[in-house]
Amino acid sequence: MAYRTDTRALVMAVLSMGPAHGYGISKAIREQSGSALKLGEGQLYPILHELEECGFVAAEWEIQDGDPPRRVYTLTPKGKKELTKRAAKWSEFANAVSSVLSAAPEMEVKA
Amino acid sequence: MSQRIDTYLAELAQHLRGKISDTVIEQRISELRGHLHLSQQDLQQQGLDEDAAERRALQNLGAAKTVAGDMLLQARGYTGRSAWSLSLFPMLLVPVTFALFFLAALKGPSTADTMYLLAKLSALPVLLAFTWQVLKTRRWLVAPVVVAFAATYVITILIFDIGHRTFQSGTSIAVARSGHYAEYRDNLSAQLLRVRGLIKESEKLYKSVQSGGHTPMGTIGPLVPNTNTVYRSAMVPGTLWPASSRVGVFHFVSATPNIGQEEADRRWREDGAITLQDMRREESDLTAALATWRSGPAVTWDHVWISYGLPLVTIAIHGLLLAALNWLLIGMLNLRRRLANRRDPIVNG
Repeated sequence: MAYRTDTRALVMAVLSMGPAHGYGISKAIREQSGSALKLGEGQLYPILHELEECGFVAAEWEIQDGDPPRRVYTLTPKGKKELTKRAAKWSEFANAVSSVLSAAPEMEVKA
Repeated sequence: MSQRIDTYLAELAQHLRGKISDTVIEQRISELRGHLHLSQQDLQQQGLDEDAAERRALQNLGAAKTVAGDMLLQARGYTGRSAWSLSLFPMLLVPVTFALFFLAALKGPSTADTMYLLAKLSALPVLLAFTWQVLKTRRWLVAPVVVAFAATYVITILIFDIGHRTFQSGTSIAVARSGHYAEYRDNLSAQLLRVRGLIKESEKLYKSVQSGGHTPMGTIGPLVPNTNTVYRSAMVPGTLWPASSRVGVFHFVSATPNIGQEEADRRWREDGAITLQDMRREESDLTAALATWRSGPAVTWDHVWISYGLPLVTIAIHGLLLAALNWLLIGMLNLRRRLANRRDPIVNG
């Protein structure tokens, strides 16, 4: 259950590719997962603020000409470490599930 | 920015006002304004007109009330803190209610029904605190509360065991064999004395009364209540035995109506002898139990299973019920959230 809801890891993974604002993060998660993962936009900000409090991400305001300012987030070295830890745990979990599933006889998938 | 977005952000700020600092509210509102702007632009590029894009952008973000609710959960530290730290209050309440239950049990009326009710009621404050905390934090808090229950129970029983030397028993098996129930040595001694008194009285009665009694009515008197201190000497005719301080047993020998004098005499002889024999066996079992009280093995598996294993299994089963409650509460909150998003007039207007 915890793995299914590890949205913090997803957010940090997007930020490991470069700084981004909230909307950009939510869009990246949706696009990179082929729309399989849709992070509720309203739920994203509390996660970002929590990660910021923990020191995993840092935020800066970016002033725009004529448009509202954007808050851009960057992954900190502490956040990188945390992401590595979470990614390793996820791989361990995914490998375990894969090895059990691959042992099962082939199933006919209905279109 | 349109009026709809301004209204939305003003409502959101209103939900947050007084609960977090004004500076933080201002920052959150600015951030969401930027988000809505980007989202609307993106949706317009995908082909939606300005109005539809704005509405979709708001729908994607969710109703102001739910977004504010999520922000407050984070601001109060409910999302980042561990379940253990969030469950501190119900966890601390567990030993407190245990202590209060014991005090009430010692001071109050000690009938089995009252004790049962008291034991059930003592869990109520913990249940209420747990429910309150889940509703407040929207988190899974079952594990810490169940662990608190298990730990408090084990510590309490350990204190009792060490305090009353039950560990030096080996007696539980002997006591069980004797058909008696005794937690402590004093109870056991009292029961032995009572059995000896009954044997003495029954022997006297058995010798003096030569014939059995019978009645056309069959069994007369109250049925033997099922308590663990009821004696088998109830078969002695017409005798009221103080089986325990609370229970009296009054039975006639003829359980079947009109068995006839001959049959009644035969039953009296045979059943009376068996009853006396049983009582003597009880006496010997109780004597053995008392003799092994201090010299038995330090811990018997029976004792560990009955005092620790079985109750911990029961606590685990109660934990599953608590998990179901936790699941139900979170489910209810999620449903309320979905309904709020669907019914919000600004987002859906």
